Formats: sequence, structure tokens, C-alpha cells
Amino acid sequence: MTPAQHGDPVTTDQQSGAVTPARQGDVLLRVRDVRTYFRDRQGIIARLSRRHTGQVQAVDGVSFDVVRGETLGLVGESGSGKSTLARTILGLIPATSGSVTLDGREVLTLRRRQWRPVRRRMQMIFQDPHSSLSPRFRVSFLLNEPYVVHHVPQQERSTVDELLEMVGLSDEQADKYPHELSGGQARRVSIARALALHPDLLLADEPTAGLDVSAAASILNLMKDLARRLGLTYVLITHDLNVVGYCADRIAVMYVGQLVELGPAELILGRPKHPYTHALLSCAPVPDPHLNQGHLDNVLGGEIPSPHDPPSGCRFHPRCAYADGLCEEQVPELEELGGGELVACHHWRHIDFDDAAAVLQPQARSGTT
Amino acid sequence: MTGPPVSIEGPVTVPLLRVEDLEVVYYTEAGALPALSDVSFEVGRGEIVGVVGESGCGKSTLGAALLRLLPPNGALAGGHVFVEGRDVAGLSRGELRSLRGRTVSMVFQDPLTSLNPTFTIGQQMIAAQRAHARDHESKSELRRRVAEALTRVGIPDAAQRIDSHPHEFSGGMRQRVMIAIALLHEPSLLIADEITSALDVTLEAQILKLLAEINQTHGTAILLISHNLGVIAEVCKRVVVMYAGRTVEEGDVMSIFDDPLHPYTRALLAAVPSREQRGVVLAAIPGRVPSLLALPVGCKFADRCNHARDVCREREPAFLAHGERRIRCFIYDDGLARADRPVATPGTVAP
Amino acid sequence: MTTLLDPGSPPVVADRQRRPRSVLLYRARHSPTLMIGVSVTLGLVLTAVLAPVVSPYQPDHQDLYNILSGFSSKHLLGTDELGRDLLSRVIYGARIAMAVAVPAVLLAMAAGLIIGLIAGYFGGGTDQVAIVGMDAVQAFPAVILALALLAVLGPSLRNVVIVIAVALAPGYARVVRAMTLAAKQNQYVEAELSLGVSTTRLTAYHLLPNIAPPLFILIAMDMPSAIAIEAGLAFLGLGVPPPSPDWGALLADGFTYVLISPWAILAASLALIVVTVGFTMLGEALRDVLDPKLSGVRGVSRLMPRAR
Repeated sequence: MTPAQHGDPVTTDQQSGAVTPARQGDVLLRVRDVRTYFRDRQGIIARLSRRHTGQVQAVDGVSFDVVRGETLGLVGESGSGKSTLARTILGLIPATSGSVTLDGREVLTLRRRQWRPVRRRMQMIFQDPHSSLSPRFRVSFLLNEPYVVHHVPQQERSTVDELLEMVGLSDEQADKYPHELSGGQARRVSIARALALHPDLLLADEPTAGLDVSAAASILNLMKDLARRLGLTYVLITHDLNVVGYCADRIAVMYVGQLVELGPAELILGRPKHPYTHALLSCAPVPDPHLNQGHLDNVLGGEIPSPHDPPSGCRFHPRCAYADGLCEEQVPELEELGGGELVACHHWRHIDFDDAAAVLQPQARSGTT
Repeated sequence: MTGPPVSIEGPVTVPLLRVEDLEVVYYTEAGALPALSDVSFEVGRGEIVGVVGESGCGKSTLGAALLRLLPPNGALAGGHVFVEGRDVAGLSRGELRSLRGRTVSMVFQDPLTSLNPTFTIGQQMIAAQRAHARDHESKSELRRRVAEALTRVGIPDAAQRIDSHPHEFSGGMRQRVMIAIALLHEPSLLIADEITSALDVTLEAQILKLLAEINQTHGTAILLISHNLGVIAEVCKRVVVMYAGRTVEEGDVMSIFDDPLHPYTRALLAAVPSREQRGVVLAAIPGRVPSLLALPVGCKFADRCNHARDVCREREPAFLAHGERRIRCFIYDDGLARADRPVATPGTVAP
Repeated sequence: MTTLLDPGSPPVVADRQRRPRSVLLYRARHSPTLMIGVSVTLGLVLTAVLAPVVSPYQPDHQDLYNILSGFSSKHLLGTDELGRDLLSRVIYGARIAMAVAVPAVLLAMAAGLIIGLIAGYFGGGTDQVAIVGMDAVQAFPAVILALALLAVLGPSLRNVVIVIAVALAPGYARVVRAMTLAAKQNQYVEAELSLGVSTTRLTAYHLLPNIAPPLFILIAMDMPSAIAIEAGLAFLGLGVPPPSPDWGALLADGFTYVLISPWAILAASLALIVVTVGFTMLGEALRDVLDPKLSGVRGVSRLMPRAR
């Protein structure tokens, strides 16, 4: 596949417009105009009285590509739909419309049984290190289960010890139950389980959530190391901008079910174009008291609106300091800026976050070492 | 004991909170667990002090112990907690009640479990006020005060929201409500236990801003317990670093973050991922926090420390003053012969 | 064992899944309620199994010289109107009680498990149908329902078992449904699904083991109910057909001659009371042992050496 896709015929879907330019390499995962709507949960009385006939638009027209071997960071506040998007891609939640292709093969239209071979190639690590492991089985059982489920012939299986070693655990852990593991160890077991089937793509939902600084650091090291050794591709879902800043190659920012900005990590972190991205970055706590002088003065106010009843026009306009009448009325299209950057904002050209770049700029830390 | 400087002449300034060699034990089926031992620090009036450490370091136990809010199997086993000079351990039930809420109040991580789902916010706040009612105030007076308190913590339309139930508030708003309740009686000290951990970065920043404002306008001292070094760096003036139930380093936030002295503090700071560290292997601390059931004999951090010498495994270092700071590490213990002391080799732990 | 006990939250009230097995044993050994419950249950089972050995007479042996006698060295609990030894009849009655209660409760559990799993797992319309069905069954008092069904089916041991199972099944279905709903919320269910496990495997391996423990409690609690319903039916003449020495039938017969000889009623009532209390204690003790959260802080402090 050629890198340039500007005006590529891929965009047969009307108005999805946004094609993520894959800079190099081939596209492993292609997400096009995916929508995931939920019906409102209502009792019989509410349904009869028809007071609410609402839909929750958890994911509302998201398109992007993931290139083989890269790490795409998917960030946004909780309620932005990033976890729902991941589950939709994985077929755990039915999509309302749109297309997801893995290596050119459409997966959203697959039937239950047809999913199995796809699942071998696309695995997910879930948020909670402990509760994402079935509590009544030993680590060895859990690590073998992928092979049993997928009827992998004996000679193609990795042994439990090999899997444990791969994620930096000793073979003593094989006989333990999940509750006997520390958060970091449980996380490693989840990763080993996900990697047992040699997937190409790993979706990681907050891989460092619930872990201490140190355990989180070693998980990130492990993930990087595995990516290098096994040629893995990651979609890293997190709200921790430090984590994304540390390991993502490209960053996609979501707000109330839609992409607002996408681009190479350096650009997004260094010179964010969308006011929401800028606000997120300036909110992120940095462990350096010098950088925090006046940091809290321009904190993003308000809260993320419910996808049940999203604001008109640009969904960010009620919280945006730069919003005007246009933003209230018209939905901004994702616009290509070149350099692989996309932004959905009417005014990005005219906004100057003056010292935006300074916010994450390292200073004064040199004395630390 | 090299305590903090206390002026000898004139009236002795009593710090707002003074914790001295505090020990807390949990009695469990697996045996007695020394959750805290030898914990010492102070919080001055109007100061924001952060408490950091990994989970299992006793941060939350510390918060609960200060107000004697330990679970039934936990007990203060030694040391002292002085609030405005009075030892909390010796307080009667009534005195304790007036201490909690009036002088010191507490906010926890999960506001939903701290609020009663069946009553409106207003009902709960009025009840909380009545618990310490000064004189017989009319209900409308109480309501007015509640609305004021809610407005103060940045809840829009407080007068209407007062009749909403907890589930009608978002996570961030509930945390604001909890802070409003905690501030009802204008306490001198607010203990905030991981109050932003369940929130998104944007809400976290909002709450931290609120704390900073409360501190500035009302002079409320805040003890901010958090595992997030970024949060601590954002608002605190001083930091207490805890490890395995002990205070290991205490000092000014600038100097601790610029020049962490205790190997644990250094390691913690080095492990935080950031954009500047792209492509660099993060310095994770090997091993894990020791189980309280099997604490090592000497320095509790020795097994994970790359400076550890024999002396570190034989006995535990004391929490000693070192310049403006206090540190529990033999590297800085001048009472120990230089040859026996571990050496901080620059660059080995730091990022 | 390297269980990391987090001092932030007291380990005593830790999550059920995070409890080492030794703690279960500790709790079990320190619970007198459990001991009594287990003794009574074992006693009942032994009595039923060893009835021919321990009972002084055959249950239908007639001592026509001693009709409606009080207690004597020959007949410890006296005799009934046909001169049958009451002690022997009560002992043999245990066999019938067990023969009805055990299969009835197991059948109820099996049916409830299937209905509850299906309702809880699939939810939606299936769930609502199941709930309405359970409500319909539970709307009748158990004995009335059983009476009505027996009137249709006709009294026999098999039918009594079926009827009791029908009356008890909704209780299991409800618990299983609720547990399934709760278990489904666990992240590991999603993790297993994303791995590609089938519904069958997910249910058998990952849901059932987490649903099972409360069912044991329910079984212990339901045994006396089953025995009581059976005795009630027998009392009304719809139980296991005579001349089986059924406790309910003993009560009914004794009732006729209560003014002449109250022994039959006393003996059968005593048997029912002991068994009911025993099983209830077993159930409650199991609940405390398996889930200390339900017993509250009081339970914790009872099992814990107190501080200072």
C-alpha cells in the first residue's frame, strides 16, 4: 500500500471525509465512520409514556487508520467514547454502522463464529489488572486457555513458562491465583494471555490504571520491549497524557464520541491545534513544581456533556474559550493540515495558545540528575 | 530527637497538626500488621502538605488514624497525634466528635459511597450542620448556609441543586459536594485522601484549583494524600514521602522534586513517564513494597535500593533532620562512620 | 503465602475472592453455629441410613398389647393406635424426609440454575418472561401450590418431589439470575469473550464457579422447607401414601388421639423442630463463613482478637 492516501478512493462512505494519511508502512486496522449508538435503558412505563425516545451516541462517526508497527494513543476524558470504540472494533459491542477492516478484511459484519480467527489476531487488555482475570483459576490455566479455546495444535503452543518469561515473570507464578498476584504481575499475566496467540494488534485499555508509578513504568517498558521484539501494533487507550506522551507514535483525541484531533505525537503534544487538546495538555499534572506556577489559572471549566444529548455544532463549544456563533451552529469537519495532522475546529488557524508550547516544555529539571 | 524548630522564647507556637512516632497496628487473622510505625511530620496553619507513596505504604491509614477513624481491628499502638496541641488519643467521644468536622475534616476518594443515596444533598448537609449546631438556627438559615457552601465550591445554581440526590451529580460535582460538607464548619485542617484519583485530568485540575483557592481564601490547611506525584507537585508546599508505613523523606516541595535525597523518592520520581523520556527505558523500581506480614529487619527499602549496604539490612535508619529536611536513610546519617555508610552515587538512580 | 495485604483497607473485610483458603478453615473452626448445624445434618443422614440398625422395631411392627401407650422401657416414645413403636416410626420417618427433601431440593436447584443462568445471561425479553414466570409461581404459598399440583398429579413419592421442586425452584432461579447479572459485570467476562470463548465455556468455567457458593447456603436453608412442605402435605393426606412412617402422617395420626396420648405429636414435632433448627443454623453459619461481609462488623469482631 502506498503511503499517500490523499483523495484515495477509500472514502466511498459519504461524509466520512476523514482519511488518516498513513505516513509509511501498510495499514493494519482501518476504521471508517464507525457509529455505536445505544438505546436508552428504560422501564415499561417510560417507554409507554414516550417521554424520552433517546439514543446514546457513544461513538459517532470515527475514522482512522492504524499502521502496522505503530502505537496509536487514543485519549479523551471518560465519557468520550474511547473504550466503547475499542469494544466496537473488537466486536464486543455491535456497531450501529461503519466499517472496520483488519488487514483489508471487514470484521463488523462477521457472525459470531467467524469472529474466532479474527480474535487470534486482535486482542485486548482490559482496564483492571485483577478483575480482568477469572478469579478461580491458576495462572497456568489462564495462560493455556487461549490455546484450548482456539484448538491450537500442541506443537504450535508456547509453554506457560515461555509465556511467563516473555512478560518477565518467574515460573513460580504459574501456580498462583490472580488474587495472589500484585497489580503489576496480574497486568503481566493479562498481557501474556493476550500475546499467547501471537496477535498483530493489541488494544490496551488504560494498561497502567490502578498501578503504582513504579509498576506502571515497568509495564510501559515491557510493552515497548514487546512491540520491538514481536512487531506488535498497539492502540493505547488512556486518559493519562504522560503515558501517551511517553509511548504513542500518533495520538487521536476524542470528545463526546468524535475525533477532534489526530496526528503525530510530537505535533499534538508540541503544538496542539484543537482547543480541547490544548486544554487536556495543560491540565495534565506534571511532577515538577516549577512548571506548575500559574498552571491552574486556566483550567478547563465545565464537564464533558452526556452523549445522550450532545451539544449542537461543535460538541466542545460550551466549554471552549474561543467558541462563537459558527461553532454553535455548524459541525466542524475534520480538516487535513498536512504532515499527517487532522483537526476538527472552525478556528484553529486563528487561535494562538500563546505559551501553549511552554506548558510541557522541560525546564529546570536538569538540576535533578 | 531533632524536632522541627520551636521558638523557645515567647509563646510556643503550636503547629496545627503534629504527628510524633505514630504507630498503628491492624489485628487480622494473619497476625498483627504494623501498618504505620515511626511516622512523624507536621502541618502548620494554612499549609498544604502532600503525602505520597505507593499503595500499601500506609497513606490512607495515616489519614484515618489522625481522626481515629480506623476500622474496628485497627488501633493506635504508640506515638502521638496532636491537633492544636491536644493529643487525639486522649479525647473523649464528645471531644472527638467536635474535633472531627469542626477542627479537622476529611474527604475520601469515592464520594458516592460517602453520601447517602436516599437523601438530598441539602438534607444531608443540614444534618451535618445540626451535628455541630451552634445555637438553634432556623431551617431557612441552615438552607441558606448550605447553598452558600455549595456556591463556594463552585456548584452552579446551588439554590436549586440543594434538593437533588447524590446520583444526580456527576463524579466531579459529587467531589465538590463532599468538599462543601467538609468545609461547613470551617475546619482548620482538611484531609483529602486521593480525592482526585477517580477523576479525569480536567476535573482533577478543577478540584486542585478549588483546593488551592480554599487554602488561599480561608487559610484552611490541607493534608493532600495522593499517589500521583504530579498532583502533589501542583498544589503542595511541603511533601511527606511514605514507604512501608514509615515517613522516609519530608521537606519543601521544590527541593524534594528538584533534588530528591532518599533513594526511594528518587526512584519514584524517575519512574514517572513523560514526553521527554520517549525512547528511554523508564527506571522502574525493582521488586515491590514488602508485605506487612514479612517486613525486612533493617531499612524497609533496602531490598529494592541499589545503594544498600550491610548496615541497611541490619538495622533501620532513624528519621533525622538533614538541612531543612528530614530523611530516613543511612546515606545522610552523620552518626554513622563514613566507611559504613552507603553512598549516593550521582546519576545511578536519578532519571 | 505472599498475599499482599493492603493496610489502606483492612484485610478482614477483603474481597471474597481475595481470601486465602486457610482463613475459611479458621472461620469454620471458630463457629459454634456451624458445628451444631453440621452435627444435626450428619445426625439426620446417619439416622436415615442406619434406620434398620438403630430403631428398636420395624416401623410397621404392631404390638397390639400396647396400643397408645406412653413411654416405657419397651417403647421409649410410646406407641400409636396400632401399637407401632413411635421411636422406630420417627427414625424411619427420617428416611422419608430425606428421600423427599434431597431430590426435591436438588431438582429445584437444577431447574433454578438453568432458568436463572439463561435469564441473567441473555437478559432482555427472555429475562422478563422468566421473571414473570417466577413471580407467578411464587405468588402462591408453597403448600397451596403443592396441594393444587398434587390434586392434579395424584399423591406419590415421585410427585411429591416434583411438586416441592416446583415450589422451591423460583428461589434458586432468582439467586442465580442475580448472581449471573453481577458476575457478568466482572471485567474477566469481557476479557474471556474477547479471547473468543464460547458461551458454554464461559458459563461452565467462568460464571458457574462464582455463582455456586451462595447456592450451598440456599440448599441448607431450603432443606427444612422441603421437609416441612412434605410433612404438611402428609398431614393433609396428600403426602407419601401410608403406611409409610412419614412425620407429617405421624402428626396427623397423633392429632386424632391427642387427648388420649400426646406422644405421637410430641415425637414428630420434636423431629421436625430439631431438623429445621439444625439446617437453618447450618445455612446461617455457611453464610457467615463464606461471606463475612453479610455478617457485618459484629461478625468480624467476634472472629477477631480485639485491639487492646
